[in-house]
Amino acid sequence: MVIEFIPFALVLFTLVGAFIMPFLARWFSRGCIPLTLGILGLDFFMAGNLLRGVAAHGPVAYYIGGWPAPWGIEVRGDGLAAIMLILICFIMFWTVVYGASSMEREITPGGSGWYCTLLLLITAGMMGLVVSGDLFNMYVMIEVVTLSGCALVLARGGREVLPAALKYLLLATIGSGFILFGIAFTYLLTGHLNLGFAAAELMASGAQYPYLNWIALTFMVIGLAVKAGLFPLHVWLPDAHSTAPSTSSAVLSGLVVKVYAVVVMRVFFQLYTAELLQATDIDQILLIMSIGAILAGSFFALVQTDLKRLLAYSTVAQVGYIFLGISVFSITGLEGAIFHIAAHALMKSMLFLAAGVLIAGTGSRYINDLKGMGRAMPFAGGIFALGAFSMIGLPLLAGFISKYLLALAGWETGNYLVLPVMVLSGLLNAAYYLPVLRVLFWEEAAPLVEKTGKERGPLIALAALAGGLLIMGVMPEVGRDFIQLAAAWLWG
Amino acid sequence: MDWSILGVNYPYIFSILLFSLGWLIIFTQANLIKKVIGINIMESGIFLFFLAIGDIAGGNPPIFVPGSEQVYVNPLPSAVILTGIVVSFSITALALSIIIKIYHNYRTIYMPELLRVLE
Repeated sequence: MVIEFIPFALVLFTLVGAFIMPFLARWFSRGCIPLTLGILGLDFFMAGNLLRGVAAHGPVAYYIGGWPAPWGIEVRGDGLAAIMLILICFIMFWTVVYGASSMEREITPGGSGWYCTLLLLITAGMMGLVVSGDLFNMYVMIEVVTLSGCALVLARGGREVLPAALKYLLLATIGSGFILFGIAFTYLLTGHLNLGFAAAELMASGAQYPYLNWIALTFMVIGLAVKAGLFPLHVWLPDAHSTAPSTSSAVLSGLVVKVYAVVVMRVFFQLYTAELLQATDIDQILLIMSIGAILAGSFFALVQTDLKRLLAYSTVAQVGYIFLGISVFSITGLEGAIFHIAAHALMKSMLFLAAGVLIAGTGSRYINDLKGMGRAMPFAGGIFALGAFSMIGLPLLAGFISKYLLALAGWETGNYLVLPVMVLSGLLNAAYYLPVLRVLFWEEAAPLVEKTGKERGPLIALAALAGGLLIMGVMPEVGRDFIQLAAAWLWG
Repeated sequence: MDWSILGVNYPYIFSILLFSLGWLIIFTQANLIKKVIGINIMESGIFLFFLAIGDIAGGNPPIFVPGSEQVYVNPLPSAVILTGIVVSFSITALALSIIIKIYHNYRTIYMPELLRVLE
C-alpha cells in the first residue's frame, strides 16, 4: 500500500465501519464486537506500516481528491501523527477486548451495537484530528470527538450521567466556539486554512499584527484548554470521566484529552513558530496553568472517596505534565510531552479498566467498600498497583521516564521551578495512590457480589496494556529515538 | 487611530458582541433551554464573523462568467460556515435530547433546582 494514503485511509475505513455497525446491530448483533475488533486490528496494522515508512523515509502528506494544498485538504503523516495513530489503535483495540464481556453489564441493555458505533466514531475522529493539516478540518474532527465522547458518557443510561454529560457538552461547546473564533482570526490574518500556508504567511507578515496574533492564539488556546481539561478549565472533567462506564472512561481519560494537546502542539509549532510565540508570553501563562494543574489536581485527588473520581482528578494533574512539556518550548520538552502522552494513555486506561474490574466485584465505586479486593482479585489488583506505581514515578516504569524528561527540559531552558514541582507531584501521587493500595491489599476482604474476576477477556486486555507500559519503562530506547525524531520534526 | 474604519467593519463588532452575549447567556441563565439558545447565539456570532471575512465590497456571487472581469466574494467562508451550521445543529439536537431526559428523570430544567436534587 502507498504510504501517503494510509492516514486518510485509516480515518475513512474506520468511519465506514462506524456506519455499518448500526445495521449489523439490527440484523446480526453478535457480529458487532468481532467486526469492531477486526477494524481496529487492521487499523493497528496499517498504523504500524505507516510508522515504519515514516521512520525510514520521513514525513508524508496526502491531498484529498488530488487537489494541491491551498485548495485541497491536507492529511499529514508525520512522526507525531504516526505515534498517536498507533497509540490510539492499540488502546482502542484492547479497550474493546476488555469491553466485549463487560459492555452488556455496564451500558443500556441491547445497546452494544450502537456503543461499538460510538467507539469507532471517536476513533475515527481522534485519528482525523491527529493527521489533519488543515485548521477547519481540525475543528470538524474536534466536534466529532466531542459529540461521540458525550454520547459515550451517556451510554451508561441511568440518571446520574445526565447532568455530567450536559455539563460536558455545554463547556465543550464553549470551547469549540473559542477554537472556531481563533481559526476565524487566523484566517482573517493569513487568508489560509492550511497549516503550512498559514504558517508561511504568519512568518512573512505576522509580526506586523502582534495584537491580532495574540487574540487568535488566546482564543485557540482557551478553547483547546477547556477541551483538554487544563486547570482551571477542568470543571467538567471529573464528573464526566467518573460517571461514564469504565470502557468509556478509559477512552476519554486515556486518549481524548491527549489529542487536544496534540492540536496545541501543531498550532504552536507548525502554525505559529517559537519566535512569534515568545513575543506573546503564552509560554509563561501555560507554564503557570500547568503547574497549577499538577498541584491542584493532586490536592483534589487527595480528598476523594470515590475511586473513579480520584482517577479523574489524577488525569487533571497529568494533563498538566503534558502542557508543561509544551510550554517550556524546547525539543526535549516536546519529547517529554509526547512520551508522557503515550505513557499516561497506557497507565490511565489501564487504571480505569482495572478499577472497572474491582468495582464490578463489589458493585460500589467508593474506596472504603473495596476492602481487600486486591487480594480477592489478585490479577486486577496487581495491575492497578502497577499503574499506581507508574503514576508515582518509580524507576523502571514509564511514568519515571516522562518525569525525568520533563524535569530535564525545565532545567535546560532555565525553568528551575519544574524540578521541585516534579518531585512534589510524585510525592502527592504517592499520597493518594498508596492509601487506595492499602485498602485494596491490607484490609479484610468483603464477600464478592458476583464472580466477575473470572472472565478471560478483561484480564488479557489488562495484561496487554501492562505489557506496553513495561516495555516503555524498561526499554525506553525502543520508542525514544522515534519520539525524538518526531519532536524535532514538529519543532521544524 | 482612524475610527471611520469601524463604520465599514461593523459586522466584526456585532459578531463579537453576539459571541460574548452567547457565552454570557450560557453562564448566567438558570434555565437549561436558555443555555442551549445561548450556544446558538454564540455560534451565530462566529458565523457572522466568518462571512464578514469573506465579503468584498461590490463583489459578485462567485459564479465564473467567461470573458468578464468581475470581482467575486470569497466563497470559502460560506462553504466553511455551511459545515459549521451542521455541527451547531447536531450539538443543539444532542443538548435538547439530554435536557428532555433530565426533565423526565429530575422533573426540572432549572440549574439551581437540579443541583439541589443532586445533593
